[in-house]
Formats: sequence, C-alpha cells, structure tokens
Amino acid sequence: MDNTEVLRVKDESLEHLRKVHGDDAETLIADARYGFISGLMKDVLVKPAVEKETVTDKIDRLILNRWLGIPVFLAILYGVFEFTFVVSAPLVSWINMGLDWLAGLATGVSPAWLSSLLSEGIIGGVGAVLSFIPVIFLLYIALSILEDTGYLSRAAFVMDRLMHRIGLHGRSFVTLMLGFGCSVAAVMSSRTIDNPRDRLVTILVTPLMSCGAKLPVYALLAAAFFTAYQGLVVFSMYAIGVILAILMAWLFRKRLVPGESGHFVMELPPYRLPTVITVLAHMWERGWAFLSRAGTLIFGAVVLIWMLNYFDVLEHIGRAIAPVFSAAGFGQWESAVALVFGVLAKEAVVGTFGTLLTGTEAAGGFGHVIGTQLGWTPLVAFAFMTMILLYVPCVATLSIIKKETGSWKWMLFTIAYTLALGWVAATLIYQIGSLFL
Amino acid sequence: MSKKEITVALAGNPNSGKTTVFNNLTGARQHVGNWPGVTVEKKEGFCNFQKHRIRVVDLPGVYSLTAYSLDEIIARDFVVDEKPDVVVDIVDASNLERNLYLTVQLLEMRANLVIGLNMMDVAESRGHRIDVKALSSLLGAPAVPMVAASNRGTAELLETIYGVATGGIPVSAINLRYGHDVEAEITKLEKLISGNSLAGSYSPRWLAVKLLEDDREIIKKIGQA
Amino acid sequence: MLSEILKAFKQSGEPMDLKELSRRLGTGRSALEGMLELLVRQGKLKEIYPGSEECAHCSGRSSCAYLLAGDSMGKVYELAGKPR
Repeated sequence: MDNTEVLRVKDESLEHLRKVHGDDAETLIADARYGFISGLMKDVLVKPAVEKETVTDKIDRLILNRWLGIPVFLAILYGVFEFTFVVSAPLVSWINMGLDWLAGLATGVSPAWLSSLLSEGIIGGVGAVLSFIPVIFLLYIALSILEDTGYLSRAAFVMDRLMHRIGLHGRSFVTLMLGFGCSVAAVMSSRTIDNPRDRLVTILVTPLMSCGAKLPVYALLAAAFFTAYQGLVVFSMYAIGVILAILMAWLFRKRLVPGESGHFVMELPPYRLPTVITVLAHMWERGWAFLSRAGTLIFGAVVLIWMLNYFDVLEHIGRAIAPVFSAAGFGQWESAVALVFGVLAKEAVVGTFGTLLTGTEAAGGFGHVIGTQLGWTPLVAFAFMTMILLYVPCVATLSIIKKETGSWKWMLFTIAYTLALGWVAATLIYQIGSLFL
Repeated sequence: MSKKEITVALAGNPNSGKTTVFNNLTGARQHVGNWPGVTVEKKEGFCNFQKHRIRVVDLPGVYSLTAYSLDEIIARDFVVDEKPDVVVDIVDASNLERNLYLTVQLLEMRANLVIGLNMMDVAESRGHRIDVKALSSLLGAPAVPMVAASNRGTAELLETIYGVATGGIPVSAINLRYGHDVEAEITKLEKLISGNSLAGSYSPRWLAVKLLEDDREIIKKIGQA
Repeated sequence: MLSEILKAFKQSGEPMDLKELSRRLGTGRSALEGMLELLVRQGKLKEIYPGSEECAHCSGRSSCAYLLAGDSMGKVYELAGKPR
C-alpha cells in the first residue's frame, strides 16, 4: 500500500528493462502496440499491401531522382529568371520613360540645389530602384508558385542531399534558402540548427546566397549590358553564389574541429495546384515588404549621398579607393563609392549610381548611363555583378553574424573572406575575360 | 438498465471527422463550454434513440492518451472519472494504422468501445479495402463503417451505441501483451498496486503499464493517494 | 520499431523524406507519422517547422519566408541534441 514503495519498484523495473533491452519501457510498450496494430492490419486491410502511388509520388520520381534532381532544380531556377525578366522588360522601360519625364520637370524647379536634389538625387536614385517594381513582383509571383505547389521543399531536400554527398552534413540548405530573400533572416533562422559546427559554417556561408537586395543591381546591369540574355546572366549570379557557398562550406568544414553531424528526415507535403489568390497574396506581401524597405533605405541613402556629393566629399573618397578595382575593370570613383555604400545596404548601390551619374537617357534606361559615362563593357558589368554577389555583406548582416556567433572574430573573418573572394573573382573574370573578348 | 440517459464520450484523432459525427448526432442541440479549470473547449449535445436520451460529450482530438498534453489528460480523465456508458472512437479509415494507436489505448482502459470507421470513401478512393468484421473481432469491439461528411452510418452508429450501452452488444478486452520482460515487471507492479486506493477506479494492470511509461499524471496521483 | 527509426536517422548517410523512411522500415506512412511524433514527445527527435520554438524568439518573423511558406515547407525531423 506504500506509495513510495510502488514508485521505487517502478524505477527498478525501468532500470532493469533498460539494461536488458537498451530502451525505455515506454518505447517497448509503444513498439508492442504498433506491432499489434501492424499484425492486425494484415488481416484487416484486404488490399493493397503497399500504398498506392499518388500523383505526388509520380512527380517526385523525377524531381527527387538522384541524377535528375539537381538539373531539374537548376532548370526551374533558370526558368524563373527568364520568366521574370522577359515579362517585366516592357514594363520596366515604361517606368523609366515616366521617370525621365519627371526628371525633366524637376530641372525646371527654381532653386538650383532643389532642382538638383530632385532630379539627380531623389528621382534619379529612388527612381532607379522603383523602375523594377515589375521585376520584383514577377519574381515573387514565380517564387510563390514554387512555394505553394510544394516544390520548394523538394529543392531544399535535393540540395541538402547533394551537400551530404560532399560530406556536408546537417540541415543547412533549408536555412540557406532564406538567404535568397534576406541574409539577416537566414542567419537568424540558423538557430534551428543544433550542431554548433554546422551552424557556424551555415552562418559564414549565408552571405554568398545572393540576397534580394542585390537583385536590383543585377537587374539593371543585365538589362543594360546583356539585354537578350538578362535571365541567363542573373541566373548565373545566383548559381555562382550557390556553388561558391557549397564550396566555401566544404572548405570551412575542413578547417574547423570535426564533430557530430546531423542527418534528418524531411516531410514533403503533397503537391498541389496553387490558387491565384494565395499566389497573389504572397506576392503582394513579400513584394511590398521588399519595396518599402528598399524604398526607405534608398531614400535616406540618396539624400545623404546627394548632400555629400554636392560638397565633393565623395569624389575624394572614391578616387582614393578606386585604383584597387582597376584590375577588375571598375576602377572609377563612382563605382568605388557605390561599393562603399553597398556595405551599408546593397540596395544603395543602384541608388548611388543613380545619384552620382547625371541624366537618364530614356532609350536604354538607366543602365546605359553607366556604360557611357563610366566606360563599362559587358565584361566589366559582369565582373562588377560578381563583386556585388560576393563581397562584404551589409551592416545588418554583419551585426547579426556577430550577434549569432557571439564574437567579433567571425564577423571580421566574414568581412575579410568575402572581400577577398569578391575581389579575386571579379579580377579574374575581368582579366581572363579580356584575353578572349 | 433503468436510467434514461446514456452518456457517450466521442473520441478520436484530430481530423478524423469527429466533429462532423458530433454534429450529425446532435444537430442544433449542442452547447459549448470549457473543461473545468482550463481554457480547452468542451462540446456537449443531445439526441434521442429508442426513448433514451443520449448525452454526447466531444472529447478533444488526440493521437494517444499519454500525459504529455492537456488535451490527452482531459480525454483520459473523462473516461476514467465520468465512466461514460459508451466511448465512440472515430477512426479515419484512410489512415488506419495511425488512428488505431488511440483505439488500442482506449481498449486498454477497458472502455466500452464502439469504433466509428469514418472516411470509408477516402479509403476506397485510395484503393484500400477494409474487412470491418475482422477489425471488430480482432479488437473485440463493434465497428461501424461511416461517411460522416454525407451523414452515412449515423443511424447504424446510434444503434450500436444503444446496443453496447444496454449490454446487447458485448465488448471484450483485448489481449495485448508487451513481451515477456515487460509483462514480468507489470505483474510485479500490479501486485503492489492492488492495495492502493486508486485500484478502485483504474484497473491495476493499466496503472502498472502507465507507471512503466513514466506517466507523470499517474505518478502524481499515486503519490497523492 | 521506434529504435529502428532512430537507427535509421543515425545511419542513413543522407537526408530522407518520409516515403523513403517508410520504405526502409517497411511501415505504413500513417503509422510512421505517429511514431515520429511519439519520439518527438519523448525528446529523442527534434521537430522543426515554421512556428516552432526557435521562431518565437526571432525578430525577423514578419518577413520570414519560411514562416510565410507555411505548410508548403513541411516538417523536418532530426535527432535531438541533448536528452530531455
């Protein structure tokens, strides 16, 4: 009747069972129940023995195929960019025309400094970003479709499986994918990774997953310098980013202390047809979030830049730094200043160019100005885009890296390695490219 | 059985169609409140059958009867403390293996069980064919095929509930053994428990199993008894 | 069976989806889901999905693509690091 006696014997029993079976009694009991049910099912379920293959399973035979899975992923990614740029192109040029008209009006405004602020500063800078609202929304439509159909989880799964084969265990790709939106969010989401080694490597490699803020740069430069191949060029940026991310992750792994690595099981929800409403809703939500953030950042940056430029401060800074990049083809002071402001926020790069370069020709839109005023060739543009892809992430990302890794060391390391990687890649591309083109 | 009211507890997994069955049975004669002391919704309703009033209590949807979540504790306590005349377990026939995990535990509790084998249409569309008679006989409890979404099987369910409540349809306890070693420990604990005051409301074997599962609630109750 | 699931996690060498796991173990999908959940409750597996604990403390919630993706991402199970 003694209750403590009962509980004591219980603990003894549990200990005994754990010794004999190596498992909790709870597990043994659950197993017995499932075993009973399993046996029962054989007598109760007349047919079929195996679950019928659903439509989802059939599709997954292709999508998750060990050999075709990655090509399918790349093809779909490429398709997304093609769709985005081809469809948005006419809309973008309309918007550019509208901006030019506005800029034209602004030149008539009376105090000269106000006119300059309006036409070069605000309309030039902010306008450059606004001119690809169509690109952003189209991209997010495509992404929403990928998400809502259920494909995205397959993409993450396929990529992680690839990484496991290279020896990169853990569940990185799922969180790395968030980096396509924003590096800050991706770094924060790395908290879901238990293994500290996996987590650190994931954080370090996240900036290489081209974030949404870099898209304006690619979009504008690709439209100007590679008109027919826009989609392909932008796709290549993302692809390079992913490839280098995997490469650097593998490299970092070799240098860090080996520890336990994780394997995981992922639930892949059934495919479904997305509804127009949800796709549009997602598109609107994300697109709006992106644009409002970009818009505010740019507005602030643009005014700041314009002020500094009015007083020639920036030109001095730019000329001091520029020579470093001449080997990569973009050794102009405007480019250097753009890169510097890019550390504050990647959206600022475009805004900087927009403000510093005068006038916006209607015909080719904004990108052409860069070509004519800075003397860029498509090769330079490509090298510059690669630089943007790889070099120092924005301060928000840097600060979250410091916060999540708990030390300055890794933040500084990130600055160093991304800068080096970016510079080397851009220079190589320009130098080697110059030999052939 | 002289009393005019039959109490029926409605159990089942979430998404098994339990709510639909509840609505089919009680229609507009239901009201919503809370389980005592908690913010979990409690639905009760009434219907009539053969001059008996049937009170249907909708238990929270649960996948098993452990002490890990409040919903499970509520469901479990209701079956033990209130001792409903019948427990109806709504089972999703297209997800049989998973749903039966709860069924097995209800049978272990010696509940007067009726199995509502719901979503038979979905199971069929997936190519499953279920031998309902075999299911009933192997589990020792009557099973009623249903498609609650089209209100099919409700009359048969009521009949079966009535049959079980009045003793017309027998429900036998299943013989689930957990393996030699575990059974040995169960026997040991059973002997010690039969002196405990809890043994009145719960079956000693069930208590022993719960103890081995390290069930927090039962351990607490034993400590307090 | 439950311990076989854990073994599969440790020995698999690569990520698996539920279909693969159920094929490997010879268990039906629906029973497998129940077992995985039990293992999560016992603290032996960790379940990660949009809206799980980690997300609660994250200030990026409002713009998080993972959260917005909702159930198109599906749950991820991995071995829990520390015992409960």
